[in-house]
Amino acid sequence: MLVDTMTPFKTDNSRQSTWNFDNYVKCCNEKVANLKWSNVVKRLDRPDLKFADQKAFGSFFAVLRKLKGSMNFSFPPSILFEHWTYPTSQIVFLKHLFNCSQQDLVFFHESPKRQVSLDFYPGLKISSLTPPVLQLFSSLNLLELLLDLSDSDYYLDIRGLFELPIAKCPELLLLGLVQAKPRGGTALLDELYSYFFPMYLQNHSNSVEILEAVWKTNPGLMTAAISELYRKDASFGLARVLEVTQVIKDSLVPILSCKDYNFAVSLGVLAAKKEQLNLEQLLTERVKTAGNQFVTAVIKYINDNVIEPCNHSSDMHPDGVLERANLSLETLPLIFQLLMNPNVESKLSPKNRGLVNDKYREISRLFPALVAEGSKTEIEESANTIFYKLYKEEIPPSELLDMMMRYKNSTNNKEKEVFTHMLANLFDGYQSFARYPEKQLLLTAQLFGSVLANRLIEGSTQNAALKCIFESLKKPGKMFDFAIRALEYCKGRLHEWPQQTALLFENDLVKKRHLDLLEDIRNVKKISSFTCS
Amino acid sequence: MASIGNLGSVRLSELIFDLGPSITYDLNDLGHVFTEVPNLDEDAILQALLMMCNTPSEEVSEGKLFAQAFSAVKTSKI
Repeated sequence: MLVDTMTPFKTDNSRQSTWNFDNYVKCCNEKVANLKWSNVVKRLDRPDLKFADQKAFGSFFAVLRKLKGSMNFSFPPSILFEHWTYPTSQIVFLKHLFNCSQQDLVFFHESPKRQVSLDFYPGLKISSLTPPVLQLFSSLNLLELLLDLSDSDYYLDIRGLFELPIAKCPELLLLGLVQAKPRGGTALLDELYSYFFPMYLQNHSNSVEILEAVWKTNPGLMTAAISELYRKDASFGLARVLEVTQVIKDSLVPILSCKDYNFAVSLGVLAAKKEQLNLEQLLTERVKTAGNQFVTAVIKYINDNVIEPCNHSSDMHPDGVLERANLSLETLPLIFQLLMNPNVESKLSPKNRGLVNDKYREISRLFPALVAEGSKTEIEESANTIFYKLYKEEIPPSELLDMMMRYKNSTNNKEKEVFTHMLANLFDGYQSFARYPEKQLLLTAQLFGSVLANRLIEGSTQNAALKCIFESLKKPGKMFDFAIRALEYCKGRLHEWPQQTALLFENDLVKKRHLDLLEDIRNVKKISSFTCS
Repeated sequence: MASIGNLGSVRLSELIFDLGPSITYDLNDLGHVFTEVPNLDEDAILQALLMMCNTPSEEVSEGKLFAQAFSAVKTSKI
């Protein structure tokens, strides 16, 4: 009966002025069949969750703590670590969670979670962090959740939760951030990294230890963070970055291999100046692997740091500009030598090829002495490379000959000089021909004859070439073969040199083995005489 | 079982709020309140719990509408 049951009902509020939670729980357990308190907790994910204050939040969890050990209760970790259906309510919950003074109260310690690894930073003890709420930041799950939630209108709310760990345990927070794998949160991560990395790249007391730990944990992220800082502010302390790379073993080359080519070039040039790496080796490798984009960055660096300052600062001496650009009279020509190497140049985009030539001309104007020295080396290198390719059979003699013909008639001074150097290479090597392998010697002979046939040389050079050929005829073995091969390629012109050709017809070995060659020479002569007459 | 008027749409949290903290001191009374609330589920239990946590005792005015309702029902039954 209602009357009977309601008889003990008291309205005397002077005696019982606080809620009796124990009785409430007991009554719930008695009156609701199969009640699972974990499901009750999960209902926190509701549209209108509200805790009046921190005391209310504490009271709620105090009730749950009393349930611990009950058959029908286990705290659901998803409430702490997973996305809720109602983010507004989740933000309310998180704000109170991060204001809670006792982490035991909120089941944080007993909830399974991924912890920040401190393997590379063993000095940090999570359990001794004060206030204890900081221990929440040792959970990667929670960090990932916060970062994900920051991609929303709640950015400032979430950002506010990071104030305390930024001030009290920045090392733990940074290590957590670099280990976390959030789905979002890029803006917040950027903001936090923009705070942490400059701080640790300065002479912070823990900088080396923490940066080394970050490097070992996530080298790609550290590289990206540093290059991003450089992108935002080119005056950012590259020198300090370089110092750090010297302390963190084997970090310089991977950092230089990053895809931010402008940053890589700037740091590489500085590292070369400090003799911490070989610039030529770095550039060769990066041009080979990154190609045109890296070349663009190199040219931009030279333009921004050398050409522009020289053109726009009348009171600055070019040598001073070079010094500030971390370049020198030795390194600048090295760079152009590499970029204008035929092997590299042939792979450049037309735009980059034009840029390289333009900037080279400007550098030539600004540093004439440097370029004279540089171009000499560069031209030798170009000519040598072309011959190297011939002997490796990467290009046929006909192609090399076309190149020589083009270079001879080129309006580009550099190409003309390369042509001259190629001729010098060809003829200066004569004394060594006997030591050439047969295949390479015959390629050289073909080139010799073709150069004569195509009138690429004249005067004393032409006479010297003929002398080489006819002297070789007197030698046995492969030098004789060299001469015959060369003659075969220039037989169409031999009638122009009757004295030397007469000697050819008197040579017994030629008459014995190469009658066909002699016959060809006679025919050319007849045709020529007929044409002339 | 006797009913406390038309309480079909009343929530557990509202009922307990209006009855005040003292209702939680007697398991029989409290149990009776539970039996009078339809659709008593985990959501209702949470709401009532949150209400209690969020409501400082000084804000609770005892013997308001529902207390009166209880009394009225009680009187009429006698």
